[in-house]
Amino acid sequence: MKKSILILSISLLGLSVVAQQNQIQNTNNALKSGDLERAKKAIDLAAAHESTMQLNKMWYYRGKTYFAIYESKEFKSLDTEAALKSLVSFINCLKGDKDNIYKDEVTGLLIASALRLYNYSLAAYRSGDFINAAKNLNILFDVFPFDKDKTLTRSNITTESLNYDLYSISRDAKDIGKAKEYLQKLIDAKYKSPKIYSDMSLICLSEKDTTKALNYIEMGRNLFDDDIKLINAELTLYIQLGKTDILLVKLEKAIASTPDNELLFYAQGLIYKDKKEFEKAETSYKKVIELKADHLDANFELGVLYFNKGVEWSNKSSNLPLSESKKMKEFDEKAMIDFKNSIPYFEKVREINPNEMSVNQSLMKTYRITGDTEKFNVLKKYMDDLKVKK
Amino acid sequence: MKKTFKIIGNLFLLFLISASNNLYSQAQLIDKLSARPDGMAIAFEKYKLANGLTIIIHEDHSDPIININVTYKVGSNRESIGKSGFAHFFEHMMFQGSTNIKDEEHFLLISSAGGNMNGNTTRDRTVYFETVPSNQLELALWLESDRMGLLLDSLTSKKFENQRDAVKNEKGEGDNRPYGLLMELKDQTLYPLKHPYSWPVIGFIDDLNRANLEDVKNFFLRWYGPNNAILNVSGDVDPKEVLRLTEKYFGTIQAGPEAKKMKAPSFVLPADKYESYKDNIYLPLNFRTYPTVPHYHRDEAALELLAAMMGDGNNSIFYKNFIKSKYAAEASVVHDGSELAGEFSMYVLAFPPEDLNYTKMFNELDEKVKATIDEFEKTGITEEALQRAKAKQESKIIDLTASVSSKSYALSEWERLLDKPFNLMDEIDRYTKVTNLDIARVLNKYLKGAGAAIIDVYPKLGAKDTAKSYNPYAELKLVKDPEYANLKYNKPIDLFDRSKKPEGGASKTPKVPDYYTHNFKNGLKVLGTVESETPKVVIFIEIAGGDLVLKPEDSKKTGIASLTANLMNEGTQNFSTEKISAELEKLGSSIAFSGDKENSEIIVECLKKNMDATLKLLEEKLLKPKFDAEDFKRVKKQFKEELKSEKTQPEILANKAYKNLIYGNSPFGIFPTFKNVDKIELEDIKEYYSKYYSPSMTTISIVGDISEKEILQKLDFLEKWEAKELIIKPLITLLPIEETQIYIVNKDFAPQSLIKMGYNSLAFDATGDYFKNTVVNFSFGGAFNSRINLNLRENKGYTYGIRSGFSGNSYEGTYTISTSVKRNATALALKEIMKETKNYIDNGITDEELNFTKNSILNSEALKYETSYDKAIFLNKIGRYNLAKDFTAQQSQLLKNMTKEDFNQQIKKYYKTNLTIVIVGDKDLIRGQLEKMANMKDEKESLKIKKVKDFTFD
Repeated sequence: MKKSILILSISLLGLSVVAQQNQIQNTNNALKSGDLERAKKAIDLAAAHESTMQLNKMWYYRGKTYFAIYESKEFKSLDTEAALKSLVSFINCLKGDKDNIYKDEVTGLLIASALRLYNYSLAAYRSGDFINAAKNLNILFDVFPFDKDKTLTRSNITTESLNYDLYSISRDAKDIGKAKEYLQKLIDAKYKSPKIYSDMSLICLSEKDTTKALNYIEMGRNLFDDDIKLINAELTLYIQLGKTDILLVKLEKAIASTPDNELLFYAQGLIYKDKKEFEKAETSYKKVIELKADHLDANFELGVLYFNKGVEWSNKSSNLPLSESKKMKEFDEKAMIDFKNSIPYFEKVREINPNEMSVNQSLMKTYRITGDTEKFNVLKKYMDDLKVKK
Repeated sequence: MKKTFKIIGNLFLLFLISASNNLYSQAQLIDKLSARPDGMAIAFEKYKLANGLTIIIHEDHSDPIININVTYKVGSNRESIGKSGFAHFFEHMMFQGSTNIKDEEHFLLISSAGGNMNGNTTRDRTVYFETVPSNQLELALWLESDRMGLLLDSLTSKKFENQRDAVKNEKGEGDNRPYGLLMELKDQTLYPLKHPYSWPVIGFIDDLNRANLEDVKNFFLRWYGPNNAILNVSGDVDPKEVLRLTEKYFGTIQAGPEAKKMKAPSFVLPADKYESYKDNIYLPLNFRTYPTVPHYHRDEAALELLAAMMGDGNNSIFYKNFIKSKYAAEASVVHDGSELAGEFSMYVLAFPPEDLNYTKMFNELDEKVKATIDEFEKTGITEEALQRAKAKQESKIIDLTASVSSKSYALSEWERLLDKPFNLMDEIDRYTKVTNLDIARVLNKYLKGAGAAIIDVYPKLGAKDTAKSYNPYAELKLVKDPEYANLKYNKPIDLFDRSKKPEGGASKTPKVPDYYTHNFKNGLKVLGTVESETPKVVIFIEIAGGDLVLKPEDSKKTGIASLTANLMNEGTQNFSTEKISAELEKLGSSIAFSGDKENSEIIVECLKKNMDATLKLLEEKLLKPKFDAEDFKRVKKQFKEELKSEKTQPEILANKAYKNLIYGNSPFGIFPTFKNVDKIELEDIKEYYSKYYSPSMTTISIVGDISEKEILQKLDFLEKWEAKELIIKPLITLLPIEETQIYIVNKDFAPQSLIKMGYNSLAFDATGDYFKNTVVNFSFGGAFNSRINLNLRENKGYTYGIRSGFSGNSYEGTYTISTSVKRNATALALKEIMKETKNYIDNGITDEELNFTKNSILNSEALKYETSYDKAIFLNKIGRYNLAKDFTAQQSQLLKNMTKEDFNQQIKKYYKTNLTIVIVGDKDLIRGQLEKMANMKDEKESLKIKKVKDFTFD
């Protein structure tokens, strides 16, 4: 009796296997007739059943079914995760395809499906669905080993670009831990973007880890010595940390090896300005202009530096008692020299960017102080006209 | 009473002077540079007018000519998003007349004065220029000032629409060329969206379609003020006179709104970015571009030298890994800077893979390019390679002094791009001071591990694979650009009558080069002229014969002259290809062989100081070729693949079909084919060289700062060159043309139809009917203002340009009309051409055209002998055709004596309405148009088509 029960169960099992195999066949038939709803039902049954759930054939038809659903306008609503399910199915099919039976047929579908999932993920990211976007993008890493023709690379999807996308998603999702993880991966892979270093530094700063913040900025600066955002970030950090002397030494070394890099002199000038060593700042800014006459910021800084010196002399003069008229005259003359000195630099800034209101106002003020009424009137008219235009 | 009157009189005079001072802005001297005794400076004076116009004057009295160059600091980089192509489109509008210049008159006046002129637009600037005899200085300044100050009143919707069509045709022609969309796609891939370099200078068609006349006006008012322009006058001028005239004509033009210097954010590509498209090409192309630095950035010189070391010449690693290894037909590296950004590009034009698996091929190629960069880093940065690159660069910089226009261009560009005094030696210095540490640094900084934009161009497989230009901003809703708000047109107020065309002063006699001749005992002929303006020496060596030496039974060896020349460019008995190239590069010299149907040619260029060493290498190359079997294999493969590639090039297809239909299978109608060239063996090449490279067939033309005696001594080695007895007498047969016959070479979906039409005519002569034909053709199709160009380009908008011409050599000649027209205007264009031809034959030339022709040709004499190349071409012509020393004077006299009747007789005799017409285009669509037109009652007469036939190549 026992034996017959066993026989019965074996035969039932056999029937069940056949039934599930039939589900795969049913899927194929439904796909051929374009009935994706029926195909989905059949393949979902096959995928859920022990006897077929591991079969490459099942993964193949499951991939095809969900790919067709994702592509179809009519049936798209059957499953919002169709792109993901199709890609996972194709990956599983190829992973188990030791004898390369499905390789030729599936590779093209796998890549097509990966490209669709990528676009779908980006759309999800843009709409704020960070969880799904990240989940889907993570699956794409598994595709690269099968992409022998490098179609993904040639479609500009690489391990690095995925890590960058995942970093952006984590950042926007405010998942700082994950954001750091992806940034570190990009830094390790020497991804050529200055932004990853400044962003990592900012995260470290938000965590009050200034040492690491500085480290990352330095790493970035070594790779992108011209990147103005990194230069500014470095300056800000050193100033915040009160370590401008260290930075000055670094800048001097850099200047010695590339004496024609105006950005280094500009950074030097800014530090001297911060340290209130105006004469040194003046020398640095002048060097910038010698190397790059149209450097807007250096011209502006020099103009401001002279103007402020003028103001200082002027204040000193005002603070003197009336009895010290001789000194007062001397200070006023010094003020006038500095105000006049500022003019060519402000004028240069104006030449580069005529509509920069703050410069125009400074220049107008300087013309008024120095008594150059002709230039004052021309500039005033220009500014009045600008106001009318606006 | 008298006294009072006098005082008032003086006051009035004083008032006039002061008024004129106010109205003519006084030029202020800003900078000045004197000439150097060694010629290593382009001397100049720089002034500024009160309205902001910068004036640069360069004096050079070596030829009686001047170049006027007006650079406006506006290019496609200033365009608003969605209005691409506007800067270039506007350039077209600047030739459509202004208040005092009628439509087309600018071309007419400059041509009549014997000058030439044009304009061009880049990403960063737009330039207008004229080169004219020096007595026409005032005319050129008047013309330029009128369009700078008074363009707007003459703008009309009709002109606007015509030029819009012309620009669209220009874009169509460009897109239709092989690899035509490459640069557009590269820019879109390389630059971030909305970066001013991310769209093409010529623009997108849909952006051009949405432009309107108001845009043109605004563009003019915003960017074409004198304060945004540099006027350069170079050549045979008196600076004081230039200043007087510029103050007069430009001084009263009002300044425009201020234009700040463009800034664009720097960017990096963190990873490689791939794009691809399919084109009507044969050789697949991989084009890799890294973003770098703008013009005159401190790293630019090192990047340019790096590019030369990696990919320029036979010693470069790109040559070794791609060309020498027979992987590619071409492979090169170049650095190209612009005002806002730079591009470091590597390209490989590969041979098609045998299994036609292009995807696999591109993947491999990509890896090979990356591996080549790594290999270069390890082995390529050598002192010798750097010195070679520097020598080549120095030679290029010295070329800036070659002509008044090149000097004018250099001065204008330095002024536009740099805020500091800069000249020739500064330009050389910035390259001289680059070290190999700099090379390694920039390689590491801009290339290694950096991302590039990579464009792969696949040969199209199916007819429908045709790629199209894609405008990412097409759907963009345009908003008003605040740049163009509240602009005002302020016309200049003059104290003179601007409508009066200035009369040119007395013209100076053109300096026809005086030359010496010398015949070697072996028959070699030498012509030379002393030219002391430049440190360069140019030598043209022409060996008559080419493929024409082949006997009829050897006609299958057509192409052998070219193949032999290609092999002569390779190694010699004592030097490998690489070694001899390296020796030349070290000197900054070049020796290039080429061959064609009629001749073999060698062009030698060197600095005078390196002449002896260069001639030693010439001796080696010319008299001791190695004819190495491996070199031959490679050169032959390249030649065969180029022949295959030609099948995708409409211009070449049209030319071959046209010549074949006129000359049948006689020497001028046949061309090398893949099959025939495949049968040419190394022994054939050796035989060709030993039989036909003969001093008795050779003419050498020399131009440089070197005396006859000195050069003849240096050329002494040529005495040993053994002469061979040769007579060239090609058998020419003609296919009869009884009626006009149209042949179509099919090119599916081609948006443009390339047309070549004409017939056999006279062989070259300097003073006979051939010469007269070239003269009578001038007003029909030989100039911009010719009948057919004005009709088909300016009035109908069918084409970007059309020309006709008589061309001839010692043995034969043809009359040919050539153009490329919009596909849907093919039949209409043919109809117009035939109508114009018939009209010219029936009614002859007009008095205006007669004067225009005579003035243009006679006055242009002054421009013909300016550069060393011009002079060498002139000498070569004299040598080739055994012309009389005064042949140019004879031609001038002939032309002066020609009456209207003479012209008309010539036209009646040599213009025909039975033509052979070849069209390369979409067969089905063109045939439909032609048949429809042929059946129209009114058109039958003008088209006279018997039937349309297909033309296919074997």
